Amino acid sequence: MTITADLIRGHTETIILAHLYNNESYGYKINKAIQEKSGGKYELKEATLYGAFRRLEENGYISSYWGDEATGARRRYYNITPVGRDFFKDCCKEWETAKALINTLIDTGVKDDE
Amino acid sequence: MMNKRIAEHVEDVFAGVAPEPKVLEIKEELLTNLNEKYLDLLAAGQSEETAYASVISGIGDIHDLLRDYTSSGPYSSMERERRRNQKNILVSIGSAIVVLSLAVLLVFSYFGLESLGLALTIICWAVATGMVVYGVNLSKTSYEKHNNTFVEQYKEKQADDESTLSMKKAINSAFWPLIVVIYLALSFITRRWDITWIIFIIAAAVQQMIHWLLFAKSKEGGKYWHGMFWTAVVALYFIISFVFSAWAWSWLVFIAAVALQQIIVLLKIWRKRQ
Repeated sequence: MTITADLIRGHTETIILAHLYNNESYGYKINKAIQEKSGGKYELKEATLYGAFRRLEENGYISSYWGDEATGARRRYYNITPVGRDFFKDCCKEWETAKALINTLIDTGVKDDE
Repeated sequence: MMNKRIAEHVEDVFAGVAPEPKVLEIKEELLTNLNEKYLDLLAAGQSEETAYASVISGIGDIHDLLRDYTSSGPYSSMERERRRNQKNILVSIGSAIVVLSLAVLLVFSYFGLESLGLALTIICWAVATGMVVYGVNLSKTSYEKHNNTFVEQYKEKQADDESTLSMKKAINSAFWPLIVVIYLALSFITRRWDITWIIFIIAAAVQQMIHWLLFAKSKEGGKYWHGMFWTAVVALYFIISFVFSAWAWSWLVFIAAVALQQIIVLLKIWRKRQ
């Protein structure tokens, strides 16, 4: 599990951007979606999540505003910016390249079921 | 409705962190999200205890994050403070030993035991050097450990400098012409041109004192305190020397000053620990 976490960590920001790509969202909702999609195998720590939010916002990839909830606690909502969309697409391309490269590099020529 | 235990835990996590706007925003965001997660877990049929535990364990190392938004995280600053104190104690004791060893040398020479006195003095210096080197290394490793905070300290210092710079300029521009006027007036009246120049050294001490009084609370306070102290010592040295024509022994003022300063440093550390 920790090894998976290490592998994924470098892509935290891409994953968050993916969850903002179609609609705005907020911290817990994003994390819940990540957890559900991964079948409970992966979940971001709050600290990791907010760290990524701040970095993305500082770079202008996302913007945020405070919601006006009727029931007490305010939520902080995030939106992806046009620059953020471009950045996300670049990240995806980069990942595809890395994935293909790593697959080639770790290919021993031995089939799994042998 | 906010869960009380979660709120208390978050309060604990943020205890000692400067309540800067960005920090408070993270705190509010965290609290809202944690609470929503908690209610979700309860709705999914978890017990309050399991839900609470899983919410808390999901937070992760928030201090890592806060270190980016405050000048320093609570742990790093506490650790740095501790190491700096240790360093100060070691350097203080080391310098005190050096000063003391001079006294030992003087006393032994007085009784005609120069060589024994010298040997003891050299041993004292060796011990003192060891302590100082160890102390300085101690604080160095702390800087390496928190590499980023070192930069932030510098940033903080710069910001500090900018805000106080104009005030300093204002004080200096009024202060020094006044001193020149006093110097000339005093010199013409007393005709003691041989001594009156000391007023500049006294003025420097006074200026440092003004800075110290004005900025005592800021990070710069310590710097001005040292400035004030040493210029005052130099002024005292010249005054004693001229007034009593005591050049033969007036230099002892400096040794007494070192001892006094180290005592003050030790007292400060002791008071901080209380």
